[in-house]
Amino acid sequence: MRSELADLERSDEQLMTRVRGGDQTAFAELMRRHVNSVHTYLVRLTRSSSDAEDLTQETFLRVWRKAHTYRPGRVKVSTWLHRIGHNLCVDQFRKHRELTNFTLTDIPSDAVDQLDQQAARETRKRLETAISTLPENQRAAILLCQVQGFANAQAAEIMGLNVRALESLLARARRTLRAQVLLDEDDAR
Amino acid sequence: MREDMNEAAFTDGLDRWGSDLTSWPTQELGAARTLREVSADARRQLAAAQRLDSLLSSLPEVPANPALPQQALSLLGERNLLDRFFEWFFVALWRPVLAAVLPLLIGFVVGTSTALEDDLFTEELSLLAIALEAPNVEEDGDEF
Repeated sequence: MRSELADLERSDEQLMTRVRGGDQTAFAELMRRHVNSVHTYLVRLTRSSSDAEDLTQETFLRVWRKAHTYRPGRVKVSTWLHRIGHNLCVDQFRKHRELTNFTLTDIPSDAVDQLDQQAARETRKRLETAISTLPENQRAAILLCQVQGFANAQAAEIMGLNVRALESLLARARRTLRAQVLLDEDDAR
Repeated sequence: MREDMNEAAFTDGLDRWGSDLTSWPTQELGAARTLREVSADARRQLAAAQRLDSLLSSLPEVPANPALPQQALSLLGERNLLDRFFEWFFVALWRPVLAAVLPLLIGFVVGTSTALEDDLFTEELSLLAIALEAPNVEEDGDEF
């Protein structure tokens, strides 16, 4: 498993080398591998499907245009991609401080409807809502570490923070989620 | 290596590093495992953290619009030879160019400021020489 992951990372870097040389086939393959992961992160961070679509597209266009700035071996390709997406999202937050109210309909219903039990669906809905009400930086930290599966150091790199600052955000986010989701879950029983 | 840990520190660790104790810093790990063995409260906290982490990890992926990759590909501009030359130039050459130009700039600035000081010094010397050679008109009083 670990060696498969290492192979994937190595081949991601090989793809990036070809993308730097202007190879559109390599770019398409890189996008195929990472588009859903980047989109999932951005849809939960922005709380809007349409914004996430635009930002995902812009992320990959930047990858194409800025491919020459990627330094193989310094950061993983997936970390670099998420960092570009994260920065675009932060720029958008700065431009439009007042965000539209988030509703779960913004996340495609088929993703949520995969749940087959009512209670689990309710818990997940509460969790999605609780995540959406976290402050932006706490939301980004918990999504990167716990949903996207990045290690704390990588998530800190994506957010442009030091690891201690990231851990502080994670601690606050987890405390809030625990209080909002697990206590509600206990009450519901 | 940390020797002991109380429940509050354990909960704080769960919030910072998650419910998978193997991902905790090594200096905290031993004390955390010991506390987990002896404290029912710590085990309760750990179970709650595991439940939350498991819920978070099980959130479904939200796939992008299948047409999005094709749209992005259609927006790619061909990078022509000139674009690629500029990319290469600005990425590969700006540091050596700066290293070459900086001493020139410093030399120019130092040279210009020194030349100015020399001029002022020469001017002062000339004025002093004139002043020493000129007749003392006030003492003679014949000029008026």
